[in-house]
Amino acid sequence: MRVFAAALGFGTIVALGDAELGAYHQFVIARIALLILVTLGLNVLIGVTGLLSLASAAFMGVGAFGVIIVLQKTSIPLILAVPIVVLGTWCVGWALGTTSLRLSGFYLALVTLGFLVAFQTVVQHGGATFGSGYGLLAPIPTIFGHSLSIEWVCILSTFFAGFCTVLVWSLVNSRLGRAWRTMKANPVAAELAGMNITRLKTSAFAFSAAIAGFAGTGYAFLQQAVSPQAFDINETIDHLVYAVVGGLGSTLGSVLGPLVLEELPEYMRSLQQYRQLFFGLALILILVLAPRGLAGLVHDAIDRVAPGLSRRTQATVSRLLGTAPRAGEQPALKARRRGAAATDPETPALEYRDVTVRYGGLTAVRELSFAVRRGQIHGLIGPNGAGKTTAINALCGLVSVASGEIVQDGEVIRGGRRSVASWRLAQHGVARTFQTPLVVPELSALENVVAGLHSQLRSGLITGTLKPRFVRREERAARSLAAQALERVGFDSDSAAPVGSLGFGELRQLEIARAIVTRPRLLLLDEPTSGLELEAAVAMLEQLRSLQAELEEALTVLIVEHNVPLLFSHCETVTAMIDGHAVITGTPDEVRAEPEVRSSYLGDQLIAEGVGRKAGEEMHAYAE
Amino acid sequence: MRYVTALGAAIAILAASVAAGANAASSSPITIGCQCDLTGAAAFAGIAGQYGIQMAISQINAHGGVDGRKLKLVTEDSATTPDGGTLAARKLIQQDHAQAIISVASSGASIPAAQVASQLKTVYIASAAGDPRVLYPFSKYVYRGDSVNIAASAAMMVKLAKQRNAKAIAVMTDTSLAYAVTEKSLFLKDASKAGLNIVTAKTWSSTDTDFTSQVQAVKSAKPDWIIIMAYPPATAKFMIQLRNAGVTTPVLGDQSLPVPDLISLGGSAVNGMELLYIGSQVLSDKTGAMGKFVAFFNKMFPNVDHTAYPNSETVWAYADTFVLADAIRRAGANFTSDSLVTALDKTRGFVAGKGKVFYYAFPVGLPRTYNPNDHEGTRVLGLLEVKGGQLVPVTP
Amino acid sequence: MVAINVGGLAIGAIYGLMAVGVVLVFRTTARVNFAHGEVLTFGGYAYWLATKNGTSQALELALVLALGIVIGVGFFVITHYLLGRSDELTVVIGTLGVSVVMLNAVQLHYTDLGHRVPGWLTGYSTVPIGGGEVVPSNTFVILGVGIVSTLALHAWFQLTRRGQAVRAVAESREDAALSGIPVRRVLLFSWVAGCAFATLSGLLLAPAVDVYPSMGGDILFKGFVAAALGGFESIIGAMVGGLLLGLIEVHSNQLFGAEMKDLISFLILLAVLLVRPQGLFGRTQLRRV
Repeated sequence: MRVFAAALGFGTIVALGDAELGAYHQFVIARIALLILVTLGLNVLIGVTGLLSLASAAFMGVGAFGVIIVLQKTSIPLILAVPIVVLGTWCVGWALGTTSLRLSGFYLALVTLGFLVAFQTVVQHGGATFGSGYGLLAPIPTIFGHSLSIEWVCILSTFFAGFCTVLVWSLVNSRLGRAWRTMKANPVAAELAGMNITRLKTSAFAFSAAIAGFAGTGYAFLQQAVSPQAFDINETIDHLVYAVVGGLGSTLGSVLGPLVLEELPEYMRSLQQYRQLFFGLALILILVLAPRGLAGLVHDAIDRVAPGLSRRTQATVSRLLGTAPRAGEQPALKARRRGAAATDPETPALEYRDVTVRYGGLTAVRELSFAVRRGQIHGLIGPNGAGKTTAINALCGLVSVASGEIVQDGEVIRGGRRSVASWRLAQHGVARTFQTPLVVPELSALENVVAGLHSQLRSGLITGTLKPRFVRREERAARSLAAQALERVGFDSDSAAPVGSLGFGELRQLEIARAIVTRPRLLLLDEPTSGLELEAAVAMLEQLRSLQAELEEALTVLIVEHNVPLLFSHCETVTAMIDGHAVITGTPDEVRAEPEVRSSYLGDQLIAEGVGRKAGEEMHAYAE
Repeated sequence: MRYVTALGAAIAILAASVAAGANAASSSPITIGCQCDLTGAAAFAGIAGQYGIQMAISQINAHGGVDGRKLKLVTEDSATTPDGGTLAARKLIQQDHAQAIISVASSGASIPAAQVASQLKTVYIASAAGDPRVLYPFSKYVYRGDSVNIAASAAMMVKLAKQRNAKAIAVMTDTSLAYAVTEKSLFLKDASKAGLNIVTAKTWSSTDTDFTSQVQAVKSAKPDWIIIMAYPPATAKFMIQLRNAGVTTPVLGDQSLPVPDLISLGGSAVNGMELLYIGSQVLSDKTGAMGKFVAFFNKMFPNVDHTAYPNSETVWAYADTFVLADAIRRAGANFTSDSLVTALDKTRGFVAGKGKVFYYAFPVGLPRTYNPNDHEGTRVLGLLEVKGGQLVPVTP
Repeated sequence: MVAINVGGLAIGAIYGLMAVGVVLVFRTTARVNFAHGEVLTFGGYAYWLATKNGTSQALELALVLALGIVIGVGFFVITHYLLGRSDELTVVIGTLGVSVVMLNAVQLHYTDLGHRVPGWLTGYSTVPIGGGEVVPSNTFVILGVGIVSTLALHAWFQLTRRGQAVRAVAESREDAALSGIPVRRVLLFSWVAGCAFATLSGLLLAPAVDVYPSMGGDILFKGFVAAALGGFESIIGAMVGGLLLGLIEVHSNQLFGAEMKDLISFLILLAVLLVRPQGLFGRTQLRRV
């Protein structure tokens, strides 16, 4: 329980520090502590998960009003009332989070704003229970018969702020945190890496709501009174300012934001009335000049003054946490699988049966039928608009199948009555790359690949935060496997480096590493060589072949490609599509010979793509 | 955290030295805290009250201060919310080291602020808050200033209802204001005891702008007298919509309403309204003490909106500042909160400007008496009428 | 009964004007301005200051519209240049920051006190509507100006070449650019027009609710709900959505009391965004994700 101990320790230290302060400053720090709690939650929601919510003040208010009402109307003691209220706020947050499944960006912000408005209506007009519109006085908090003085409320608030800061930091650096960041970067890639988007979104909302609700209970006892105006849009905007100025996505930022923005006014008493104005200006300035906030500035300063320090610190922390791979340890992950390779070797690994896909008023795929044998590298070619990517998207569940079936190892995964959810495909052994590499910019290269193992790991919100032994073990195993996968694809850059410094080819390798780290049965590559020079493209395909040979369980690969000669030389079988329909499936020679294929795009297509006239002529000769 | 601890230590040392210095007979200024609603629904009162306190303090300092010590004013905005009130009180006492607080704030903000002041053993005079709960539960440090305990307002409303022979009364209350909720429940209790007939009781919130449903309710209930317990902005809008709907029923407004804002926002719709009033003279009276008061105010604050200020809150806060100053004088230059309480409790019939010490003050306040178990301020309520865009007295 | 419906339509016209301003900007820039309410407030204060100084009514209108244009340019500069490369989240937060600055600037300078202003063109006059009841003439000015300006704008979009250029940019920026349409100028126009509609709303609303710092912010949410009813893409839909919302509000006022109206707006918003995202009048069946 190292994380728990560290959290307790840190919380105790800051609480003791607060206890040493004079009465007024103690109070100020306690207020800041509560704001830190809210900002930690808001940061998880907006910074890490990328969901814009304007409801943070409402959740704080639910906690504040809730705890007073529970204490006044029932005989539940404080020590139970607070967890009950926090749990209630969690549920409300979860409910609001379900709207984020259908909405995002500014529409989501609008709905959360509506929730804030609804909350205001309830506390302003909910009658005497809610203070008749002018607010409620908080009862004096008592624990086991002892009433808590304001000083004790201050000390406890500060303790919990420190405690939760460590816990949230651990959460953000866990499986769930990686999944949130991946979903923020690209939800589609996240789903195909095995991440349940629904669960991710609602859990982010619920968590941020609950921690804000907890801060609200503290507010009620610290301020000794609550009013509707304390939890309105202005307050929510304040929270946003703390999060943004501090640094979105950074736990350090969640602490720096409230600390700096609330401490500074204490020293500029004469300018007190301009406080809100300064907040607004600070927000705009940070957004324009320093989007990563104060935390970003701190990190940049450290990197300039002591380069490599942050890297070494990270490494030390990983070792202390027990997540860094250990020499001599050969960790393994228990595979979590659904379905299995069919026993009959004749069963195709993948089969499309008369699949039709319509969207945007067009029929993109018409009665597409082809089969891929187990262990083969199968190419899918066709001119632009032939429906190749759509066919793959249909398999992945990104578009719906109007009629027909897609069958994997004898099991229907699309079409018919039973359809496998996109995020479950990873457990079925399906992995995919995309036309443009969809990597997560906030994670290092290694962590990007570890994210691919999401469906194979078992830590959740609580276990991910507290990191008990099994979690540490599986993190070590995951990192080790990820490092191996990177090696296998020929990635030779620094895997701990931020992804932004990598070249395009390396990003491609990264994406493939992420796809193969789970040892999939079926690997879908969507234009994997596009953007690569010929040499690199050939090297990559060679790597794939050797990889396939190494694996024990047969790996079937489906490649969508424009570079036809390359495909022909590396694929065992090919399907050619024209206008959404499969014209022929066979060996490269058979396909090359098919008249419709030749007339429609071989040669002509290459010249049109600017491969070069000489190359085009060469290809013509090759095709002969 | 280290710098914060160091700063906290520095403040503690500074505070101790200031306290120590004050204990030696020094001429350091006396810090008076002003907790005012400078923003929010009660801003019309808080801003006005702050001017009144500033005016009194400047006069006092111009005449040598109290016991040879000048008065220094520190202000915190309580924003018409209870948590704003507690924060303001805490800041004034713990950060600014106010030795006494005068508040010009709604009851909602003042009730919890008074509690905090009491916990921190500082004298608190609530100049504008009429809710009984300000003084209940009783604390020796908390006093009511020029504002009347609204139990008296409720009683006066019943008396007037009987005088006017009102057979069907409609009651309009702003439930976003603590004092109004209390006033309504006190009135309804007194009214039922007196056998009065209440035909409808509707509510609104300070921020409302559309009063269609309340007006419709009044129209269908057909009262012969309407009582309003609310602040000026919403009341003015309600009156406009009420008169537009063709309702000509006479209306009584409570003691929050006799301010110029009501007329500038309500225009002709508020003509004929009767209003409960606390004060010895009407502000529009250009003669006597009030005339001099207004003239001095206009000279001291030339750039202020003179259609809105001064208002009755200015007068109350002005008078209350002198009550406090007089008690400080009697407690001596090195007064403590407890000795100040003792001095305040000996206040008998005090009116600044009518004695030898504060002869220069304008005698616009009502006589003040405090006892160790009675900290209520004024008990006298008068009646005004809105006539021709002015507030004029009515003999009830 | 008449008074209630007239009142409902009038406040609905204000919501509609707000919504039109929001949609004007959103269609071409894909950005929503959370400071739109404060722009209305600025318009209201400008009108109040103009009436205090006894200017002519034509000048009052000109001043208010000119302010809207200036503010629109400001927002264009902020969102297109300063935050040009930022994602949607950042721009939303940025406009929230601007709204804080604008609101506090007004509050600091003019305090929270309200100020009564006469109706534009009509002063404090009223119109009898039967049964001994009167309604402020300004109510009809709101309705008239609101509906006429929306129809005029719609006609301009449909019939003039410049208007069609704007619609082209709304459809697809790339295609419009390829057709030689000056996209940046169109975006600037959208901001300017949107903010001018907002300040105009301020001039119309002020006589009904007095001029105070949060006059615009208080109804911003309603403006968004009205825009959602129009699917965030149709000007006519935005105005009709607003009128509908206003009517629903006054009638719910009667039935459920004044307290419920914000709650009802929230429920309408949820229903529209989750069940029928194209609103009542939008065409495209978009996924809002």
